[in-house]
Amino acid sequence: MNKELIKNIRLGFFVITGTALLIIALYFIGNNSNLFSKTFKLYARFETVNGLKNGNNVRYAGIDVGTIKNIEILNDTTIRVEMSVEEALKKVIRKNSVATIGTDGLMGNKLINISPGTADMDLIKDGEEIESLASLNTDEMLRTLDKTNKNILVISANLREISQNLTDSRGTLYTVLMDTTIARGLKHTLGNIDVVSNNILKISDDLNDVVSEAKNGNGLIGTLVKDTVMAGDLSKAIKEVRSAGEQINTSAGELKQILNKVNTGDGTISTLINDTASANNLKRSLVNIDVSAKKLPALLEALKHNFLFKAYFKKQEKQNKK
Amino acid sequence: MMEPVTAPVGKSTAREYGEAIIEIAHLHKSFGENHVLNDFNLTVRRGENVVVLGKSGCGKSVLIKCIVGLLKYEEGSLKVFGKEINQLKQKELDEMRARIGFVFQSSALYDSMTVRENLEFSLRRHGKGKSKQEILQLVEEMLENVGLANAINLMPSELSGGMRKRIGLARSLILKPELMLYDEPTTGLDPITAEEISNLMLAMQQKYNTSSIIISHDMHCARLTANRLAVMIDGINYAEGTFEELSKITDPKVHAFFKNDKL
Amino acid sequence: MLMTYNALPLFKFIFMENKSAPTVPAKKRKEPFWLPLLPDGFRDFLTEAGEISRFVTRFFKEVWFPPYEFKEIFRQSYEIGYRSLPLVGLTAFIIGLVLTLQSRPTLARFGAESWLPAMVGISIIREIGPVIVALVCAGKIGSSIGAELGSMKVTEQIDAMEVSGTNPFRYIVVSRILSTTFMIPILVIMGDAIALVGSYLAVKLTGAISLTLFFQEVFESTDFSDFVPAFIKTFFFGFAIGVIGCYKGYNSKKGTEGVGESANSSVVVASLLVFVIDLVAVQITQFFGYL
Repeated sequence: MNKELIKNIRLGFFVITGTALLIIALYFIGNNSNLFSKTFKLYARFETVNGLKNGNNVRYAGIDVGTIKNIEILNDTTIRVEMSVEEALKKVIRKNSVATIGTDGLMGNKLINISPGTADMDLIKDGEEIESLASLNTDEMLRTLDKTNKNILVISANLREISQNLTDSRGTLYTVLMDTTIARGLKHTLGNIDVVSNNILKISDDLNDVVSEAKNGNGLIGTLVKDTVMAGDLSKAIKEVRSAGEQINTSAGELKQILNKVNTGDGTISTLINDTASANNLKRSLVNIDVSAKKLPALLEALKHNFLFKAYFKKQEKQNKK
Repeated sequence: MMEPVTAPVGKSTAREYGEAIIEIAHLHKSFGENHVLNDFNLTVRRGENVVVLGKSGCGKSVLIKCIVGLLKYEEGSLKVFGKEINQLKQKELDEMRARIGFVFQSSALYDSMTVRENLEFSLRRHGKGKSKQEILQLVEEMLENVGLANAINLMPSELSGGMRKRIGLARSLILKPELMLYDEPTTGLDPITAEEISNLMLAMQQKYNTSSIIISHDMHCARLTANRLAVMIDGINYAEGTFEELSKITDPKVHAFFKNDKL
Repeated sequence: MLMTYNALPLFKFIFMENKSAPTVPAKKRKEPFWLPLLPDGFRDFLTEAGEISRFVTRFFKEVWFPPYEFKEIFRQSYEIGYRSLPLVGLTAFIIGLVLTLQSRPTLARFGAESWLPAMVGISIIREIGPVIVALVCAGKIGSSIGAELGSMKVTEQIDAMEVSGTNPFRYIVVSRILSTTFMIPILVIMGDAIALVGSYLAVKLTGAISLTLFFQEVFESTDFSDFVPAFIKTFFFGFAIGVIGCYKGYNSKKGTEGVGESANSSVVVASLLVFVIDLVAVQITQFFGYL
């Protein structure tokens, strides 16, 4: 009987130890997925979630604070992600905190990173939505730029034709210059170039701002761009865009001058025609424009591949719409 | 098939014992093509010891396994205490089995239990309402009967062949059965131990007034214990009678059993 | 303990059959025309599969109703669970240690040694722990049940039980199957824990890491979807080991040779079944999207 008792005690010990280990394991795993700590709900809308799954981590400034609870499709372009976040984070996350989708390590899981908001905003409440910033579709934006660029090419080709005519066929030059319709067309073309190049300038200015922000580590893109080498490359690219635009601008300015001269009267026409220097000038300007315009597609192509600007271009487009 | 030579059963024998406990009529049992029991008949009365003789492997064990319902027979009738075994439900069969003691050829002691637990085992189901004290008393009484009272806490592996047989006997007697079935109780034992066991069987039969069927080919045991013998050959009850009667039969098949063991 | 382990060809293992006498041949039924067309081995395999299914069905029929043999269940749980712990523990410890030492160079090549606890932890919890423990138990418990029941059968103890009014299937088989079904998961949990300790020591051998950090990293990378399916399948492992051991022993051939064969074939079939169940479990978890 005594032997029996000892066996039963051992069996009890065995079973209890096993069960305890099981419970401990479940607790730790559960703890890991925030099953046992108090949490609150938080929402964010995205256009794409890049393969985010239920149970992926939510981080606040790099610290694991919760998990993805649910991902639902609201409509064809909006996906709402429900996050379950530790109660303590209510004291930190603000209404202008921004959620971004990122990756854990080189090949790790997708996750949502919540970046801190600014102190002047109210704190978030249970079930509220925070803003999101995701890698959005900006191909469209770049495509528009590309189109603009192609237009410039066409225009500059036209200009070259005209200047060719000016230099080569002296016989017909007179008639050409006297033809006001052509002159009007040319003027119109130049106006277009002006607008385009102004646009390019503006964009490159904006890009500049972005890059400098990125360099300083500020702003949203700043959090993404940590690689200074990459930022350097970017600023170089932007400078090139800018100089190209400037070149187009100056060339267009020169052209304008010439056309103005042509337009002002007979007296100057002869001098203009005889003045080979100004003809040469014109030619050079046109070549410049051509070169600049040819450079642009390559630059834009380079920009397209830089995913960091996708978001930026998107924003730009929105502003344009307004 | 040869006509069975049924020995004249003395009328005195029939009167001497009580009502029939086992009535076997035209019993058939086969394993595939092998017909083990082929129209077997036998009646056992209260207080009677019947030894069933037969060659090894001729189906004697099958007979008593049919009696306790371990095996199902195909045809014929087998009534124990007036009830047809094949028609009993599991519960009725269990109740029936409580009235039958079965001593296995290999003793069949439960290896993982002590002698005491072995004896108590049948009481788990059939000894309801008995206190621990009563059970212990019963166990001790039975062990006393077989002369192994001091073996109560031993494991079966610590026992000799003869001791195991005795414990097996004690275990099957613990429910005070009305019918005992012995499957080769003396096989594998030395002659002295075999005789001890035979005497013990006889003593128990007298003490508790049981009937028994003893399966054996040990003529010495048969002579000691049998009130009546049945010779089983080719699955039939070939000859039946007292030891004396059968030993006088000249039929060669029956005689083969007795030639070395003349009275 | 009886445990013969001959190196027979695999197909012989699978199709090994004990040809215990059919109890009731009943009326002669006409042999279906396709029966002789089946290859012998395949027919035996089907026969055995069918008999095991009937055995399992009988288990489920008997398990719900009293009398419950609690004492026997406890006794068997002690034998199966507690007594297997040293063997399981040692095996698990070595596996954890070796697995970690072997994984280290590969990870070191990528400079990802910090992933060692997470990687080894997941391997152990998901796959290695359950399967290794189940295999060890298939060997130890399967053979012991097979041999024990085989010898009980041979020495008529099962008949004796039947005659004494105790349902031997319920007393012997149900209690053992229940014990394996519930003890193997506990052994797996303990085996997992011990394997993780072994793994920790292996990590510690080549670099400093605290026990807390190690386990934190293990659990950080572990999810319920890693743990729960792996844990559920251990019940099936235990059930299979119990069923096969009991079936082989309960239907053992007469004689000592039959006992040896029961022990042997129960180990082989149980081990094989562990792998089959593992495969099925992976498919099912995949189906439910847990991977």
